Amino acid sequence: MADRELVQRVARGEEEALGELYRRHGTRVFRFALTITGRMELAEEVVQETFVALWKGAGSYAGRSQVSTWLLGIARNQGLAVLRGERKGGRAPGAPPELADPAKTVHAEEKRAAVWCAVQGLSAEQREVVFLAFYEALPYREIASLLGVPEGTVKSRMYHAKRKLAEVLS
Amino acid sequence: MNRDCELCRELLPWYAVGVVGAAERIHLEEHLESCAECRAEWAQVAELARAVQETLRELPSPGERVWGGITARVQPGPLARVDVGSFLLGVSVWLTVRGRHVLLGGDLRLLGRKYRLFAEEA
Ligand SMILES: [Zn+2]
Repeated sequence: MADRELVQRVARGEEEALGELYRRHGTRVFRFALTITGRMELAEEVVQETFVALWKGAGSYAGRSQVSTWLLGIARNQGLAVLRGERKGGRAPGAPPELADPAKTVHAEEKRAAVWCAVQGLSAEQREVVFLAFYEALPYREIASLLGVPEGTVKSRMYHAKRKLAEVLS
Repeated sequence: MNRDCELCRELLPWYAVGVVGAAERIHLEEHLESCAECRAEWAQVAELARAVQETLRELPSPGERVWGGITARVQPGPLARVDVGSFLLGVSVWLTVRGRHVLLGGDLRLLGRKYRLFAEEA
């Protein structure tokens, strides 16, 4: 069943359709949220808020973008809200994600940890562009429409992100 | 750096993940053939894109409790509900609030599974 149809079913109150959308998109939303917030428990909060928002707002899905992109747009708003709340509330810092995979060599592990730290060292605006381009492989036009900024802004955020990453990782 | 080089470098991250339009791609590839500096930049961007992609793809998935938290919040008790029949075979009619809407719905229960018969704004 197509994602769009599932969203229509969610709008009619079908929990099973929500579950299927979660199975399909929960991980990408979570990883996006993790990239934005940098912390497991905040990312989990964002995923919950995103799917609850989907449950309540499925009827407002206009079908202009892919469901996955639409969900990432909701997650982004939730993620930024959570980050703002963090700064105000001063919650205790949580654990960074566990990247270690025992099957990988120490060298590969170290490299991945270094890349993750470098990505986290970017601004939130740069991090979201990096995720949407490299993980989602979204064209810059779609990223611009998802973020509600001009295409030139997306390119320039990426340009600076790329330079910073190369600097840190070289 | 001339304008061609600038345009080329802006696009390289998207070229690395294969989402550049056909016209842009042709332009970019022509430029790469003729410009050693951008070729060097391309090698760096391709490597960077791969490293970032690998790292993001190995991020964890959400834990079990996340879905539990969602279901707990999307199943507020209905305002009213009438059940007829049993768990194995029966019909429920319910009235519930969803966001700003009040929904009237009906489910068929068959062998422990639930099938939505209808759900309309009341
Ligand atoms: Zn050049």
